[in-house]
Amino acid sequence: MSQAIEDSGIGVAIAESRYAFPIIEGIHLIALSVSVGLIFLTDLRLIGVFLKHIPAEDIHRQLRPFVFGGFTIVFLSGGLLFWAEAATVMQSPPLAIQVPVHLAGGTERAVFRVRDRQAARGARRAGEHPTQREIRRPGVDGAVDPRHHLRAAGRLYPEVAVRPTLQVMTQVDILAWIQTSTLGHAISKSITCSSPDSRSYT
Amino acid sequence: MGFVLLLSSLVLISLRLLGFTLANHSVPKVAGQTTRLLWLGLSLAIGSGVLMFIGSPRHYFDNPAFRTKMLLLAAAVLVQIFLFQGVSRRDSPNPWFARVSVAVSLVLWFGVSMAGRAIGFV
Repeated sequence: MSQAIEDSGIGVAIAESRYAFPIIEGIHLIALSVSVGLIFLTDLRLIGVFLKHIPAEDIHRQLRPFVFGGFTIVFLSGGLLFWAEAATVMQSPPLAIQVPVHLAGGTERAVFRVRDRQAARGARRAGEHPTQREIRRPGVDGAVDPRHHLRAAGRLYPEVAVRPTLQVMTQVDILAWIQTSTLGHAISKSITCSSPDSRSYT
Repeated sequence: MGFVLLLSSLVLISLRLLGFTLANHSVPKVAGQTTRLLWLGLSLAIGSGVLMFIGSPRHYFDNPAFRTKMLLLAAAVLVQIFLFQGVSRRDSPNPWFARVSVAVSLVLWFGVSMAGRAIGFV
Protein backbone atom coordinates (compact mmCIF):
# COMPACT_ATOMS: atom_id res chain seq x y z
CA MET A 1 0.00 0.00 0.00
CA SER A 2 2.82 2.37 0.88
CA GLN A 3 4.23 1.67 -2.58
CA ALA A 4 0.89 2.76 -4.10
CA ILE A 5 1.02 6.00 -2.10
CA GLU A 6 4.54 6.62 -3.29
CA ASP A 7 3.60 5.94 -6.91
CA SER A 8 0.62 8.28 -6.87
CA GLY A 9 0.72 11.59 -8.75
CA ILE A 10 1.57 13.90 -5.88
CA GLY A 11 4.01 11.42 -4.37
CA VAL A 12 6.03 11.24 -7.58
CA ALA A 13 5.79 15.00 -8.09
CA ILE A 14 7.31 15.72 -4.67
CA ALA A 15 9.97 13.05 -4.93
CA GLU A 16 11.07 14.10 -8.42
CA SER A 17 10.96 17.84 -8.06
CA ARG A 18 14.33 19.31 -7.45
CA TYR A 19 13.03 21.85 -4.96
CA ALA A 20 9.77 20.52 -3.53
CA PHE A 21 11.29 17.88 -1.28
CA PRO A 22 14.01 19.99 0.38
CA ILE A 23 11.65 22.95 0.81
CA ILE A 24 8.86 20.90 2.39
CA GLU A 25 11.44 19.18 4.55
CA GLY A 26 12.87 22.54 5.62
CA ILE A 27 9.42 23.78 6.60
CA HIS A 28 8.82 20.52 8.46
CA LEU A 29 12.04 20.87 10.48
CA ILE A 30 11.59 24.59 11.22
CA ALA A 31 8.00 24.08 12.42
CA LEU A 32 9.13 21.13 14.53
CA SER A 33 11.98 23.11 16.08
CA VAL A 34 9.71 26.03 16.91
CA SER A 35 6.87 23.97 18.43
CA VAL A 36 9.10 21.67 20.40
CA GLY A 37 11.20 24.66 21.44
CA LEU A 38 8.17 26.57 22.70
CA ILE A 39 7.14 23.51 24.72
CA PHE A 40 10.67 23.42 26.09
CA LEU A 41 10.50 27.12 27.07
CA THR A 42 7.12 26.51 28.73
CA ASP A 43 8.62 23.63 30.68
CA LEU A 44 11.59 25.74 31.73
CA ARG A 45 9.06 28.22 33.13
CA LEU A 46 7.14 25.44 34.87
CA ILE A 47 10.24 24.22 36.69
CA GLY A 48 10.92 27.84 37.58
CA VAL A 49 14.21 28.60 35.86
CA PHE A 50 12.95 30.87 33.06
CA LEU A 51 10.94 34.15 33.04
CA LYS A 52 10.00 33.77 36.70
CA HIS A 53 8.39 37.21 36.82
CA ILE A 54 5.72 36.12 34.36
CA PRO A 55 3.07 33.75 35.76
CA ALA A 56 3.57 30.19 34.54
CA GLU A 57 -0.02 30.08 33.51
CA ASP A 58 0.33 33.07 31.18
CA ILE A 59 3.23 31.42 29.40
CA HIS A 60 1.51 28.07 29.28
CA ARG A 61 -1.85 29.35 28.05
CA GLN A 62 -0.67 32.01 25.66
CA LEU A 63 1.98 29.94 23.92
CA ARG A 64 -0.25 26.92 23.51
CA PRO A 65 -2.04 28.08 20.32
CA PHE A 66 1.32 28.59 18.64
CA VAL A 67 2.57 25.18 19.75
CA PHE A 68 -0.51 23.49 18.32
CA GLY A 69 -0.40 25.66 15.20
CA GLY A 70 3.23 24.65 14.70
CA PHE A 71 2.42 20.97 15.11
CA THR A 72 -0.35 21.30 12.51
CA ILE A 73 2.31 22.46 10.04
CA VAL A 74 4.60 19.63 11.16
CA PHE A 75 1.95 17.00 10.50
CA LEU A 76 0.84 18.47 7.17
CA SER A 77 4.38 18.76 5.81
CA GLY A 78 5.30 15.39 7.33
CA GLY A 79 2.32 13.87 5.53
CA LEU A 80 3.53 15.26 2.21
CA LEU A 81 7.05 13.92 2.79
CA PHE A 82 5.65 10.53 3.68
CA TRP A 83 3.58 10.61 0.51
CA ALA A 84 6.71 10.97 -1.55
CA GLU A 85 8.59 8.07 -0.05
CA ALA A 86 6.13 5.96 1.85
CA ALA A 87 7.56 2.60 0.87
CA THR A 88 11.11 3.40 1.95
CA VAL A 89 10.11 5.10 5.16
CA MET A 90 7.80 2.29 6.20
CA GLN A 91 10.77 -0.07 6.33
CA SER A 92 12.91 2.36 8.23
CA PRO A 93 13.63 1.44 11.86
CA PRO A 94 13.68 5.09 13.04
CA LEU A 95 10.08 5.62 11.94
CA ALA A 96 9.04 2.84 14.28
CA ILE A 97 10.49 4.98 17.05
CA GLN A 98 9.44 8.39 15.81
CA VAL A 99 5.72 7.74 15.47
CA PRO A 100 5.27 6.34 19.01
CA VAL A 101 7.38 9.21 20.38
CA HIS A 102 5.12 11.71 18.64
CA LEU A 103 2.04 9.95 19.94
CA ALA A 104 3.45 9.78 23.46
CA GLY A 105 4.28 13.47 23.29
CA GLY A 106 0.78 14.33 22.12
CA THR A 107 -0.80 12.19 24.82
CA GLU A 108 1.40 13.74 27.47
CA ARG A 109 0.27 17.23 26.42
CA ALA A 110 -3.38 16.19 26.37
CA VAL A 111 -3.11 14.61 29.82
CA PHE A 112 -1.45 17.73 31.14
CA ARG A 113 -4.22 19.86 29.74
CA VAL A 114 -6.93 17.73 31.34
CA ARG A 115 -5.17 17.70 34.70
CA ASP A 116 -4.59 21.42 34.45
CA ARG A 117 -8.35 21.91 34.06
CA GLN A 118 -9.08 19.52 36.92
CA ALA A 119 -6.67 21.40 39.14
CA ALA A 120 -8.40 24.65 38.21
CA ARG A 121 -11.77 23.21 39.06
CA GLY A 122 -10.44 21.79 42.33
CA ALA A 123 -8.96 25.13 43.27
CA ARG A 124 -12.22 26.90 42.50
CA ARG A 125 -14.15 24.47 44.63
CA ALA A 126 -11.72 24.89 47.49
CA GLY A 127 -12.36 28.61 47.34
CA GLU A 128 -8.82 29.48 46.30
CA HIS A 129 -10.00 30.72 42.97
CA PRO A 130 -11.77 34.05 42.67
CA THR A 131 -15.17 34.33 41.04
CA GLN A 132 -15.40 35.69 37.54
CA ARG A 133 -16.37 39.11 38.88
CA GLU A 134 -13.13 39.42 40.79
CA ILE A 135 -11.00 38.70 37.79
CA ARG A 136 -9.70 42.00 36.60
CA ARG A 137 -7.65 42.57 33.52
CA PRO A 138 -4.23 41.35 34.55
CA GLY A 139 -1.51 43.92 34.73
CA VAL A 140 -3.90 46.87 35.03
CA ASP A 141 -3.33 49.16 38.04
CA GLY A 142 -0.84 46.68 39.36
CA ALA A 143 -3.67 44.26 39.96
CA VAL A 144 -2.23 40.83 40.63
CA ASP A 145 -3.34 38.30 38.10
CA PRO A 146 -5.61 36.11 40.23
CA ARG A 147 -5.68 33.19 37.85
CA HIS A 148 -2.89 31.43 39.60
CA HIS A 149 -4.54 28.12 39.92
CA LEU A 150 -1.62 26.43 38.23
CA ARG A 151 0.06 26.94 41.55
CA ALA A 152 -2.52 24.57 42.98
CA ALA A 153 -1.25 22.06 40.48
CA GLY A 154 2.30 22.66 41.63
CA ARG A 155 2.94 19.00 42.15
CA LEU A 156 2.63 18.62 38.38
CA TYR A 157 5.59 20.79 37.54
CA PRO A 158 8.58 18.46 37.75
CA GLU A 159 6.95 15.55 36.02
CA VAL A 160 5.68 17.59 33.10
CA ALA A 161 9.05 19.11 32.52
CA VAL A 162 11.08 15.98 32.07
CA ARG A 163 9.27 14.17 29.30
CA PRO A 164 9.14 16.92 26.68
CA THR A 165 12.77 17.71 27.29
CA LEU A 166 13.61 14.14 26.44
CA GLN A 167 11.27 14.47 23.53
CA VAL A 168 13.16 17.45 22.16
CA MET A 169 16.35 15.49 22.06
CA THR A 170 14.96 12.22 20.77
CA GLN A 171 12.76 13.71 18.06
CA VAL A 172 15.38 15.90 16.51
CA ASP A 173 17.97 13.14 16.62
CA ILE A 174 15.55 10.62 15.23
CA LEU A 175 14.74 12.94 12.34
CA ALA A 176 18.41 13.26 11.54
CA TRP A 177 18.68 9.51 11.72
CA ILE A 178 15.76 9.00 9.35
CA GLN A 179 17.54 11.20 6.86
CA THR A 180 20.67 9.10 7.02
CA SER A 181 19.02 5.77 6.64
CA THR A 182 16.22 6.44 4.20
CA LEU A 183 16.45 9.81 2.51
CA GLY A 184 19.77 9.08 0.90
CA HIS A 185 18.30 6.03 -0.69
CA ALA A 186 14.99 7.61 -1.65
CA ILE A 187 16.52 10.68 -3.17
CA SER A 188 19.35 9.15 -5.11
CA LYS A 189 16.71 6.84 -6.50
CA SER A 190 14.56 9.62 -7.87
CA ILE A 191 16.63 12.75 -8.37
CA THR A 192 19.96 13.21 -10.02
CA CYS A 193 21.74 14.17 -6.90
CA SER A 194 25.09 13.50 -5.37
CA SER A 195 25.33 11.99 -1.92
CA PRO A 196 22.94 13.77 0.42
CA ASP A 197 24.74 14.41 3.63
CA SER A 198 22.65 14.03 6.71
CA ARG A 199 25.29 15.71 8.82
CA SER A 200 24.47 19.04 7.25
CA TYR A 201 21.23 18.96 9.18
CA THR A 202 21.19 22.29 11.03
CA MET B 1 19.27 21.25 20.00
CA GLY B 2 21.04 24.60 19.74
CA PHE B 3 18.95 25.61 16.76
CA VAL B 4 15.76 24.52 18.52
CA LEU B 5 16.61 26.86 21.38
CA LEU B 6 17.57 29.68 19.01
CA LEU B 7 14.48 29.48 16.80
CA SER B 8 11.99 29.09 19.63
CA SER B 9 13.47 32.02 21.58
CA LEU B 10 13.42 34.12 18.43
CA VAL B 11 9.81 33.19 17.70
CA LEU B 12 8.78 33.92 21.29
CA ILE B 13 10.27 37.43 21.20
CA SER B 14 8.86 38.01 17.72
CA LEU B 15 5.37 36.98 18.76
CA ARG B 16 5.58 39.36 21.71
CA LEU B 17 6.86 42.22 19.52
CA LEU B 18 3.94 41.68 17.17
CA GLY B 19 1.59 41.61 20.15
CA PHE B 20 0.37 38.07 19.45
CA THR B 21 1.33 36.60 22.79
CA LEU B 22 1.94 37.70 26.39
CA ALA B 23 0.66 41.16 25.44
CA ASN B 24 -0.09 41.79 29.12
CA HIS B 25 3.65 41.76 29.88
CA SER B 26 6.13 44.36 28.66
CA VAL B 27 8.49 43.62 25.77
CA PRO B 28 11.75 43.84 27.78
CA LYS B 29 10.27 41.60 30.47
CA VAL B 30 9.63 38.86 27.94
CA ALA B 31 12.70 39.50 25.80
CA GLY B 32 15.39 39.87 28.48
CA GLN B 33 16.02 36.29 29.55
CA THR B 34 14.79 34.94 26.24
CA THR B 35 17.51 36.86 24.41
CA ARG B 36 20.15 35.21 26.58
CA LEU B 37 18.67 31.83 25.74
CA LEU B 38 18.79 32.80 22.06
CA TRP B 39 22.53 33.49 22.23
CA LEU B 40 23.07 30.28 24.19
CA GLY B 41 21.26 28.42 21.40
CA LEU B 42 23.38 30.12 18.75
CA SER B 43 26.60 29.25 20.61
CA LEU B 44 25.58 25.59 20.83
CA ALA B 45 24.70 25.58 17.13
CA ILE B 46 27.97 27.25 16.13
CA GLY B 47 29.97 24.96 18.41
CA SER B 48 28.49 21.80 16.92
CA GLY B 49 28.64 23.32 13.43
CA VAL B 50 32.35 24.02 13.76
CA LEU B 51 32.94 20.41 14.83
CA MET B 52 31.05 19.20 11.76
CA PHE B 53 33.01 21.55 9.53
CA ILE B 54 36.31 20.32 10.91
CA GLY B 55 35.15 16.80 10.09
CA SER B 56 35.12 17.42 6.33
CA PRO B 57 36.06 21.02 5.52
CA ARG B 58 36.53 20.46 1.79
CA HIS B 59 33.09 18.99 1.42
CA TYR B 60 31.52 22.07 2.98
CA PHE B 61 33.77 24.80 1.67
CA ASP B 62 33.03 24.18 -1.99
CA ASN B 63 29.35 23.73 -1.39
CA PRO B 64 27.28 26.70 -2.67
CA ALA B 65 24.53 26.05 -0.12
CA PHE B 66 27.11 26.21 2.66
CA ARG B 67 28.38 29.58 1.43
CA THR B 68 24.84 30.91 1.21
CA LYS B 69 24.23 29.67 4.71
CA MET B 70 27.31 31.45 6.09
CA LEU B 71 26.32 34.72 4.38
CA LEU B 72 22.77 34.48 5.73
CA LEU B 73 24.14 33.61 9.16
CA ALA B 74 26.39 36.67 9.20
CA ALA B 75 23.50 38.89 8.07
CA ALA B 76 21.16 37.35 10.66
CA VAL B 77 23.63 37.91 13.50
CA LEU B 78 24.19 41.54 12.44
CA VAL B 79 20.44 42.18 12.23
CA GLN B 80 20.02 40.51 15.60
CA ILE B 81 22.63 42.73 17.26
CA PHE B 82 21.90 46.07 15.60
CA LEU B 83 18.17 45.93 14.94
CA PHE B 84 16.36 43.27 16.92
CA GLN B 85 18.16 43.77 20.23
CA GLY B 86 17.45 47.50 20.16
CA VAL B 87 13.77 47.00 19.44
CA SER B 88 13.27 44.34 22.09
CA ARG B 89 14.87 46.50 24.78
CA ARG B 90 12.27 49.25 24.52
CA ASP B 91 9.10 49.30 26.54
CA SER B 92 6.97 50.41 23.63
CA PRO B 93 8.87 50.08 20.37
CA ASN B 94 7.54 51.74 17.26
CA PRO B 95 5.12 49.08 15.94
CA TRP B 96 6.25 49.33 12.32
CA PHE B 97 9.91 49.29 13.27
CA ALA B 98 9.20 46.22 15.37
CA ARG B 99 7.30 44.50 12.55
CA VAL B 100 10.07 45.16 10.05
CA SER B 101 12.76 43.88 12.44
CA VAL B 102 10.76 40.74 13.13
CA ALA B 103 10.16 40.08 9.43
CA VAL B 104 13.80 40.62 8.43
CA SER B 105 15.10 38.56 11.32
CA LEU B 106 12.71 35.63 10.82
CA VAL B 107 13.37 35.53 7.07
CA LEU B 108 17.14 35.48 7.67
CA TRP B 109 17.11 32.82 10.39
CA PHE B 110 14.67 30.57 8.55
CA GLY B 111 16.87 31.13 5.50
CA VAL B 112 19.89 29.93 7.47
CA SER B 113 17.90 26.82 8.38
CA MET B 114 16.80 26.14 4.82
CA ALA B 115 20.26 26.73 3.39
CA GLY B 116 21.69 24.41 6.02
CA ARG B 117 19.24 21.75 5.00
CA ALA B 118 20.09 22.34 1.34
CA ILE B 119 23.78 21.54 1.91
CA GLY B 120 22.93 17.86 1.75
CA PHE B 121 21.00 18.18 -1.49
CA VAL B 122 23.35 20.08 -3.80
